[in-house]
Amino acid sequence: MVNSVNLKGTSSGMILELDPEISFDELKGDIANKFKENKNFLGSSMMGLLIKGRTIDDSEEEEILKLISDNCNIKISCVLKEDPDLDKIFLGYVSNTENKEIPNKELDSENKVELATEADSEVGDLLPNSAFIYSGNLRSGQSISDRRSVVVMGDVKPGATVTSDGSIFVLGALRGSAFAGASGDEKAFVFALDLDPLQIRISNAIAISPDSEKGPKLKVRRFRKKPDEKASEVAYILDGHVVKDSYGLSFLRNHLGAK
Amino acid sequence: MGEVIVVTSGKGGVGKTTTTANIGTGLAKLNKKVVLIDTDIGLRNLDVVMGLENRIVYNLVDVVEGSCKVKQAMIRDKRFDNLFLLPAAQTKDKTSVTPDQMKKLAEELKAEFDYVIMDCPAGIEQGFKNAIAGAERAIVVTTPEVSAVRDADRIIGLLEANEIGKTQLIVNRLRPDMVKRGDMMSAEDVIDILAVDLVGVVPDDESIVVATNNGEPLAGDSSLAGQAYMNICRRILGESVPLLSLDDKKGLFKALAGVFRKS
Repeated sequence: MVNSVNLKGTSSGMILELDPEISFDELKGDIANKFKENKNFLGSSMMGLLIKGRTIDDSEEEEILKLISDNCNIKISCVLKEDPDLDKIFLGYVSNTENKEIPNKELDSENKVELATEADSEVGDLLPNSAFIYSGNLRSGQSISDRRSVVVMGDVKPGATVTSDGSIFVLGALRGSAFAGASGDEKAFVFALDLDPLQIRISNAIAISPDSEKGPKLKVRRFRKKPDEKASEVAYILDGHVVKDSYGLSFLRNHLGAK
Repeated sequence: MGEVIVVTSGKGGVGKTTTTANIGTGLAKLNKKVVLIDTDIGLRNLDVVMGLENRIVYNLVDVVEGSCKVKQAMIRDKRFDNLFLLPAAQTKDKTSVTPDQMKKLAEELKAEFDYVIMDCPAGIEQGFKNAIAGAERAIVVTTPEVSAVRDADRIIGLLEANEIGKTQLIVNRLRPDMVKRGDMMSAEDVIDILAVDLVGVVPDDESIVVATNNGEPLAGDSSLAGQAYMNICRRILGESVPLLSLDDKKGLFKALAGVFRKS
């Protein structure tokens, strides 16, 4: 048997495809060889393992894990087994799509994501299909730059910069700089629970914060800050200028509806 | 052809950035065309002290890397049309720039400005080497404390080794009342130790804190520190201005101290 065992890598794990026809004892030798061959390539990282193609019971699973740990240095963090019946449905779907038929619900999750993005891309580029999500505060000197929309779950402090080809959502206070629509998307916008940035750039438009009034800055801030009453705000381009507005129905109607 | 001046100290927190901002403002007030360069890449402050933080689009690293023109990166001051700031990058570090690049930049700016003033970072590493690369004159800032004076001494040695022609000293945050009590080194004591020319003494003044927080340097206003900085600027231009005489200073400080006591 040439290909009784097949090993594929994914970003965080491996897929082990086993031949359903031959005996398990025969298979064990092949598995051992496979991992021995790839010992150097696999290294010693932590990986998840998906076993495909053959129904195996718990004792067989244990044997496979033992074979892996005996023959190479990787550590298996979790094991997923696949039902061969489900696999058949999956195979059926793959051949179906060639005929452009609407796929049924038994798809694996990877394909679901792909299909969803295909459907979304027709809607437009306003909200690129996925977002980069960052949790934590962005402090002075730190920056995030991503082609997708960016969500920051935390504050963006003065001196920090967020850049995105899409829109920027700060679930916290935006006091640093934000650059949305960096590749020219004029419909990109910047949202923040507390929108008080040093600078906002959207596409080619730029807006800077008004110069501080007389008197120590800190004092001014203290008076202004009443977080409970403050509505979330959003900045977008209107007639070539960056404008700041409270986030609400009017923004949604005007900005998203006009599209 | 202008002159390139580096403001340095060795020790942090003695007032390099405040001094740079005030000398720049003072020289601009005296109708000189001035550009301030913040060489403290990664820990920029000069833009905040100048109150220009919100206008930064390009920075020193962009200029050096050629991502933008020098003119694009320079920010015009809020109050003076002949004063500009070239801000540092915040997201990079000191190694993003080399002394050769700084030298080239200084040469370029010298042709257009009367004074190019470099705000040097604390320390004696790459940032310091960058800042002094193109400088013809150095202003060393120190406070009358042993640690600051010790570092200033080291810095003056390094400046001499790098053949910076002229080194001058500013004694910052002097408290005449403490000097009088014998609890603080006087400007004369500091000069004795460092053996360099004094270009000015700036008293410890609350109005500096207020001006810094407001982003409006106070050189030239009625405060004691404002006058001291203006005098320093005149001396930089070559005028011989007497130091705020000790008697005057005492008088003013007594008056000042009196006010505080009453309140």
